[in-house]
Amino acid sequence: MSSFNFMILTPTGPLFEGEVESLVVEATDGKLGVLAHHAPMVASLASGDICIKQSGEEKTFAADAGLLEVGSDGSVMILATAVS
Amino acid sequence: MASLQEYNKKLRSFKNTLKITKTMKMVSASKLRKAQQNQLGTKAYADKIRELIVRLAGSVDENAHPLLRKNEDAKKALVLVFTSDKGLCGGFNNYAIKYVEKWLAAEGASYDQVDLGCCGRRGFNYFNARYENVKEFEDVTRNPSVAAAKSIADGAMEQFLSGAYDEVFVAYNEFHSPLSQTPTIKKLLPVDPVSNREEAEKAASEEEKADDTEYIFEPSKSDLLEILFPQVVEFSVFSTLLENSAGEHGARMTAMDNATNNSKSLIESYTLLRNRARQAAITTELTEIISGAEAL
Repeated sequence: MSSFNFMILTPTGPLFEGEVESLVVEATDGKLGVLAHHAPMVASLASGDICIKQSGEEKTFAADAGLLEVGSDGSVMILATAVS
Repeated sequence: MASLQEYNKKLRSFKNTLKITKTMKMVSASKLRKAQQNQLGTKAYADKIRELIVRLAGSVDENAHPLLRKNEDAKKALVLVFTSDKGLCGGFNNYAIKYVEKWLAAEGASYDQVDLGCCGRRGFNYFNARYENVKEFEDVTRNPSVAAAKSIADGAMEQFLSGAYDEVFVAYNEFHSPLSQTPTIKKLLPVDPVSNREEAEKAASEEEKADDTEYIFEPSKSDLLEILFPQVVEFSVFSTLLENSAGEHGARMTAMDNATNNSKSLIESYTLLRNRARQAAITTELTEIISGAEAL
C-alpha cells in the first residue's frame, strides 16, 4: 500500500513525523479519511481522535481543534494547539 | 585600617556570594538553553500558520472577521505587560516597566482609559501599587504553556469582541541574545490586516510561481479563517511568553555573570588588604617582642 508523509505540528514542537498509509480525522463537518495521493486540501478539525495507520499498525492521538493541510506534494500536516 | 578578623569575615561572605551567583548563572544558562529550544520548536508551527494565512487571506475583506475590525477612534485599551516572576536579572523587568510607563505617558494619553494586565509578578507588584484596575495573570511566565497562553488570549479576545476594549497591546522584552533584550510594545488586537496583507501578497506572489494548485477548502475559506485567527492570536501570546522567558533567563545569566566577576575582583582586592593587615599585625607583634627583650 502506498504511503505518504505525515506530520503533526503543535506550538511546542513537532509531535509526530513519518510515513503513514492512512489517516482518519474528526473534521468539523464529520469524519475525514486521507489516503496517499489525496488532492491538495485545507480542512478544519474538531477536537477528537487522529487515527493513523503506519506499516499496518494503528495509532491514535487525541487532539484539540486544529487544521489539516494536504500539500501539493501529497504530504499531510496537522496543526493543533494541544495533542497527546 | 580594619582588623584581620574583619577582613576574614568579609572575605568569607564574598566567597559565599560568589558560590550563589555562580550557581545561579549556571542554572540560568541551562534554563536559557531550554527556553531557546522551545522557541525553536515553535518555529515550524509559526511558519506553517503564516503560510496558511497567506493561502487563505488573499481573498479576505478587512471587515470579514470581527478580530480584524478597526476602531478609528479607539477609546479603551488594554496593555498586557510581560515580566518575570523573580528578580535578580539585572534591568530586565525595570526596562520593560519604564518603557510601558513612557508609552502610557506618550501614547496612552490619547485613550480615555488604559488598563493593564500583568503576566509576571514583578510587573504586577510595580503597577498595582501605582495604577488602578491592574489585573494579574498568575503563574504564567515561569513555565510558558499553551494552556496559559490560551486563557490569556481568550480573555483578551472576549473583551475585545464584547467592546470592553478597542485595542489590545502586548509589552515585553524582545529577545536578541542573552546579552541584549529591548522592550517593545506591539498591537495584538485588532489583528493588523495591512502588515499581514503586505506580507501575504509578497509571499503569495512568490508562491503562485512555485505552485498554482487548486486547493479544496473544507469548510469555506472564510470559515477557515474564522478558526485560524483566534489560533494566531493565541499563538502570538504563547510566543511572547516564550520570548519573555528566554529573555529573563538570558538577562539573569548575564547579571549573575557580572556579579560573579565583581565578587571575584572584590575577593582579590580584599585578600591583598587582608594579607597587608596580617603582615602589619605580625610586624607590630615582632616590634613588641624585640623591644620587650631589649628592656630586660
